[in-house]
Amino acid sequence: MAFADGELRGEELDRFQARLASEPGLVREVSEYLALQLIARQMAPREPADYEWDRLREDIAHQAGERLSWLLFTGAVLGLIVTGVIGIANSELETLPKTFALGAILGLGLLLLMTLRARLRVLPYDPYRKVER
Amino acid sequence: MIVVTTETVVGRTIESSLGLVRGTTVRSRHVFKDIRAAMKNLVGGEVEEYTKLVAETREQALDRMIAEARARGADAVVGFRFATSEVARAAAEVVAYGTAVRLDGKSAGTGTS
Repeated sequence: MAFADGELRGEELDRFQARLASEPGLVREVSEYLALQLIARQMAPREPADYEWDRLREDIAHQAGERLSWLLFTGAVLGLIVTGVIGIANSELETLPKTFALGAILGLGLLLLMTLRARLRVLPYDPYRKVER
Repeated sequence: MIVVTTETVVGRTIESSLGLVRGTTVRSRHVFKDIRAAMKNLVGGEVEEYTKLVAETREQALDRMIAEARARGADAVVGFRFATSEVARAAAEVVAYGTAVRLDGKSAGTGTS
């Protein structure tokens, strides 16, 4: 792929860049090619510990422990946030500060969602996440 | 594109210097990886989450530098270096830099060293 290898010049490069701007499928193809190039230049052999990591990841007890811990943690954090919001909503604060506090929490939550959306949108085009070490 | 840490490319003559080229990036892991890394900090050993983060950042900075060198019509980058700094907690910043050069008539190689 001449574009990814930096071999396109002048008019050819402009034409290809114009196609990239309008063809998401082509952008994905270029990203996949770049990811392959990245993997190809990381040819270091696996280390002995990697095999033990693999075995650990396949271990049912380990998987269950990990899932349970994440479930407990994220559930509790979400619960705390919801409890906090309800607490503020039911508090004896005056209407204006209460509105500002709830607005700030809602705004932050919305901002997080939008940031997450943007990240998920560009994730398939980020070849560097395939780099291991 | 030849990328070397030396000031010259062995067996080749530098025809012209095209100036400084660099690539910069700052990357971070998501909060769940940070939590797992914090746990590993407690028990010791390699923190793979951060090894991966630094490696991703290094490769992206390197690619950006190479892209700039290619855009200038360079055959190689000599005196290549990485530099790191901290702009935010749990984020890795890497700057890759070197001098873009054009080599004598023969076509350039494709490896990095």
